[in-house]
Amino acid sequence: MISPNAQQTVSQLVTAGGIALATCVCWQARLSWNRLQRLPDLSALVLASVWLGYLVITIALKATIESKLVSPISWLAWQDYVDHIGLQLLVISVGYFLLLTASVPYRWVYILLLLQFVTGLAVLSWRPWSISQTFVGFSASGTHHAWIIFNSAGAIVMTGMILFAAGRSRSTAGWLAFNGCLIGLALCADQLLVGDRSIRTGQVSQLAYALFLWVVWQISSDRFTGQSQSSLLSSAEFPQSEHMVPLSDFGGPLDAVAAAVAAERQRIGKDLHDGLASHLVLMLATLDCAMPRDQRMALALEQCLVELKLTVDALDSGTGNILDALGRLRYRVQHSLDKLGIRMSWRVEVRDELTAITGEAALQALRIAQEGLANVMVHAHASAVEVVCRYVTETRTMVLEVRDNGRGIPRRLNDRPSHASHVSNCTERGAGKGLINMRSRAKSIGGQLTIASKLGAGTRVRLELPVPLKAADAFEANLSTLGRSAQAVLHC
Amino acid sequence: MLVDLNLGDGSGYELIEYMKTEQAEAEAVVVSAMEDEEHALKAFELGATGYLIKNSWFGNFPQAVLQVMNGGASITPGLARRLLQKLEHRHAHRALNCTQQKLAEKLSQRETQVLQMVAAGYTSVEIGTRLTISFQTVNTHIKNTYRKLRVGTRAQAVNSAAQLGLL
Repeated sequence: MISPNAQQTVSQLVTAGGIALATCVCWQARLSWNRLQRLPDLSALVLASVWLGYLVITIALKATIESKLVSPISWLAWQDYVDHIGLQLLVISVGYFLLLTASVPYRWVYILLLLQFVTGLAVLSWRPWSISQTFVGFSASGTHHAWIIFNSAGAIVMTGMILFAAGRSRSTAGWLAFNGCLIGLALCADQLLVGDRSIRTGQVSQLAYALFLWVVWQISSDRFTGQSQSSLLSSAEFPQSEHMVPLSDFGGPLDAVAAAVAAERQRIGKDLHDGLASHLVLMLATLDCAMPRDQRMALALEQCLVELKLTVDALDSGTGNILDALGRLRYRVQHSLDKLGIRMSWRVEVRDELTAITGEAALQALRIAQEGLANVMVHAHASAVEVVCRYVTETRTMVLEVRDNGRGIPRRLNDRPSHASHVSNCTERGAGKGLINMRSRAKSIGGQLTIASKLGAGTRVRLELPVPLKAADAFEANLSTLGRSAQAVLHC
Repeated sequence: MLVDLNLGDGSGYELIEYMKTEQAEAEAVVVSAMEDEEHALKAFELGATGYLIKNSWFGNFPQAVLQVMNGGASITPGLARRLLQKLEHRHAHRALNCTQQKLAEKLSQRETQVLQMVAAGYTSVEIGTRLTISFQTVNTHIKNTYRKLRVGTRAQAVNSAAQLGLL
């Protein structure tokens, strides 16, 4: 057993450490939120602020009561009330932070959390005990127990949802958030179940938990890896690291290889463009578009051209990010759509977050959109098509949709399991295979494809793809300021 | 003036440069046979004010000519992306050695926005609707970005000097 004096010293030290940590996190989260506008950073900011406020207010109240300047009985009741409100706020903000960290995609969970908060506050503020009784009365009252049980139930639901989300996404952040839930639940149970207000348990474990959450935040926002990457780049191995942005500034043998590859790609692109493409154009010109059979043929040839041109584009300049890829897709298909009299409604959000989708992911997403548009042109008999690409902040996912008002997909094509193969009709086989291909493309980049179709009303192809976090280097920070201005206007 | 970049006896670049030296007010519109954005960029740097794709598979050449003549700007998503890259790159460079290239202008926020939207597939009319400006204003923004590419060439130097009354 240590002496009460030592106990007090430890307690003061822990509180001071807590305030320092909370202040640091507040500051860091604020900077990060200002720069990247990511919701997890905002939730970290809220959490740190609430905790800081809680610590400061409880200390202030304690000091006031110990100074004996005020009547202790009523002030103790107040202290008790404020303490509970603080705990309630902490529970909710921890929940919010963990939900966002685990990228739980369901809106109702967040609404539930809000409801828990409101109800919790209502229960606490409905205070029949304060009229005649002191805090002891409340701690022993049924309301208090109801409050604890209610919060525990809420926390258990959240934990379940986070476990579900982590199991589905299999992300490190998800599992970390689940761990956070479990430890948080244990802490809550400890803190809330101690009936006697005079005993404060787990001061040290609270601080440790806060540190744990801080680490979770750092890992989930890729801060550790981001930092290690930038330190790698500035090390002696890359003497020209200031010139990282323009690729052409690389010197030495790497440069020669890159130049040779680029030249070869351009040569292939040019060959495809001048050879194959001009043949296709010639064939198109010989077709008589008044004849239905030729019309089909012309459509097929045009799809070939779109395909070819997109390949040449990619050879020429790389796939770029998803926005560039979609931009080129539209440029390539608009003419065909015009010819068929299909109205295009283009709703692509120009947002910095989406530019993180590059390389293989951008390419496969582009192919899915392209296939979707080709289906609209060839099969759907639609008069309008809409392409939507947007970023869902809560879940950090990109949603890419191609929807039309055409005749819809025949049921047996849509529902058919992917291993079934033989369909006699040529057109239908093509369509069925296209749908299967789209699914496998989506799967290959970790996305989810849903095809919804209603006979006579239209079809919607929807790709949901988790957006990778970007390394926070200077160049991208620069881009994000540019992107934000566009986003402010385009946000819809 | 319409200049084909693939002139038989070499390149249209020299022609543009010469024209700009002789008569600064003349407008040069580049016609490119290939959809070659790199070359278009170079032409802009020399002072071209418009860009046309000759045998684009999809797209109507006479219509494009009319559009450019009426003050429109024909631009492709790929070109917009390259413009953005080029001007950002140049700006980054300027930050490193700020003594040089005082003439290089930075893209305004609106111009960046317009270019980003073009790169993402929007047409001038759609951009106008989204940003609640007229599509002529959108075209002006695009043409201004072409103008801002024009730096550091001989013709430019002569031009600016003449405008400043040094010649």
